[in-house]
Amino acid sequence: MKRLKIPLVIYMVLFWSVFFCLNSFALEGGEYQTPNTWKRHYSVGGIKYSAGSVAPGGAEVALTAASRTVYRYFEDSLTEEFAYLRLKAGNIEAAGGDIAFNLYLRGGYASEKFEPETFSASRNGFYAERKDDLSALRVYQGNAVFEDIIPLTAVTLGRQYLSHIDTQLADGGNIDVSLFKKRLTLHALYALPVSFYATDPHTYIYGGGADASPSDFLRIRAEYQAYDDRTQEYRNDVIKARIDGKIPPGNLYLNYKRIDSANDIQAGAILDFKPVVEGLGGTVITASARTITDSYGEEVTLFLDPYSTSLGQEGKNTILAGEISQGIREWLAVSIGGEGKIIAGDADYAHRDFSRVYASIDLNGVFSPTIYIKISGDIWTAPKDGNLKEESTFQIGGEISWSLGDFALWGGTNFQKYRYYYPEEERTVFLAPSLKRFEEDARTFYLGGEYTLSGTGLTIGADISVVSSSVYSAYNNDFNDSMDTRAELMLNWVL
Amino acid sequence: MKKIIITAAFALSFAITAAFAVESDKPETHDGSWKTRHGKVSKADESECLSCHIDRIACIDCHQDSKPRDHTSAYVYKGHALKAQWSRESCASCHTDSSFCDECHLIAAPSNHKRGWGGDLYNSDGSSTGRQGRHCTTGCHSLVASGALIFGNDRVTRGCKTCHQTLERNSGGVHPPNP
Repeated sequence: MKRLKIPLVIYMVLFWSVFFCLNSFALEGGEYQTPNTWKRHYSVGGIKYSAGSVAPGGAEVALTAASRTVYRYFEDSLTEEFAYLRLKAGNIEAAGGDIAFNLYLRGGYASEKFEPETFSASRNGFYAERKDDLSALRVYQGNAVFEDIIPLTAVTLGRQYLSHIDTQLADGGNIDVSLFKKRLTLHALYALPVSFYATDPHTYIYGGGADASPSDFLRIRAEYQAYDDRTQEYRNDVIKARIDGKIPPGNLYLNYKRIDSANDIQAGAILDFKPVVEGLGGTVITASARTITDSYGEEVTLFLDPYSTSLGQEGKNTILAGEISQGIREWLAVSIGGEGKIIAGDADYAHRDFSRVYASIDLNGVFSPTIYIKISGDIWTAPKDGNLKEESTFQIGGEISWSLGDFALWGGTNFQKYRYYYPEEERTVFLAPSLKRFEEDARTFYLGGEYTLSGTGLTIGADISVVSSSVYSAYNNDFNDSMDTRAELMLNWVL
Repeated sequence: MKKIIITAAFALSFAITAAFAVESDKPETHDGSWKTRHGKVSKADESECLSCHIDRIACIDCHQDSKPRDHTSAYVYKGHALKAQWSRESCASCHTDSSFCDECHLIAAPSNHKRGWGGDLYNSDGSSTGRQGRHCTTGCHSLVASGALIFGNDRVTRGCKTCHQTLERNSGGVHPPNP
């Protein structure tokens, strides 16, 4: 045993000292990027490219189409299909200005129809969108932009993302008037907010605001919007203001929103420090504090607060959050962050303190030039408060991306644990609360890849994921198969 | 000695390969911490994002179109309730659609609404049926923990109201219809 230990120590010292001593060309500026397939670790599907850009100097058309087929086996087999179409035509000269058209559609179809008022673990958000039909069409964008047709203005008509201090999908019109070499922009809008899950022809938004940049380091915005529901005869007045200040390492901001009489104030910093020690990576620090000074939600439109009807009013609370990311050598970065919520008033199940701690390790190009690995975990804890018991969730996982020429591969795994209390059923004593502690877990594995046919704009991909969980058998003892499997086939075509 | 040389060669080859970055055409800010901070950065100056993410297609792709990997059926069944109760802000980065929660909660019954869940505790004239539905002795979303199980207590009925949104406080009278 002794004879084996000494060489092992030498091996370890040699192995790690090489990494620590060599400089790398990869870390220019102290930063290093995640790979192109990074997004696949968070969600699969959709149009892969944004149809590129429409080059200035002439009218161009960009077209992208995509298709995604999902086969799922859980309680029963289920097939979902999605088709995407994106069309952009821009730089069409007219009347001294430019016109651009933008269209982005998603059609969806599923083979299963779930009976109402019946529980099914296979039911998902797509069912909620489809209702009784098996298909659903989403128009994400369908608008025309008229720039400088009226001098100094940009008019957008149609389905668009109203993007001022916040972003809202709506059908209608928005006009921006830019003055003083775009140092000051005034806007006015009138639109109907869009929901993919419910039809609401009665609520409309109108308002206006200003966006001023008196210097390259300061930006001040203010706006007013009214959400008016003519059917229920109520109206929500929303006032927003925001200040952004650029400082050498980053950005400071102060954000204010007032919905009727409730104030929502947030301040924060996003700081990106270049490395001060040669060979060490950069440091990114984010910090924020947010406070809601009044409860709201009782008479607020769902377009402003979609949660109150399910969770009750948003109560007074303060949220503090912070994260620090540090590059260590050329191939390693670590991040750690936390978030905490402190409520005011009595706690209940949807209004209680909680805290969250998370951390991650990024390994860049360690085993191969084009391999990226991330290991991450987080813990959420809601502490004991009066009759509320302590509850928590925990998750840890890893992901890997690997590029091989025109091929890209990705894979990952994740383990989640839920610890919570739930009323015990089949009690015999009435009026005596009895809570049972549950501890359940879920494991996810996924593997995927895609191939881009060079020179064609066509990408073919596939992804398979499996979820294994004790949660399923808890509700149905006859359901022996505790695994939910999804296989997806993706086609992307950029013309 | 042979093993040491082999190990050193092995380590050196790794070091050489570590000299090159992973393939990426993203700017240097899009590092591992970008997922958690890109939202705040985009609010400061969205035009910089839109220079590459034209027309917000990439934003729509993640935030609107396809669900994230952790939204498994287990998460839909259990996990989302816990996290939504503690931090509705964590849901709001994607779920801004006004009726998303309601469209499931108004239509889909939870798993404990099985045989024996319903049943009248009282007749409409107030007389006891002698039968006790399980919904009287249990609750939803751990609402029982929020207070004593007293009929009419608003905190008790809060969990039921997640779905039965027309539920009125009462002292043992007629129950509301299904959603």
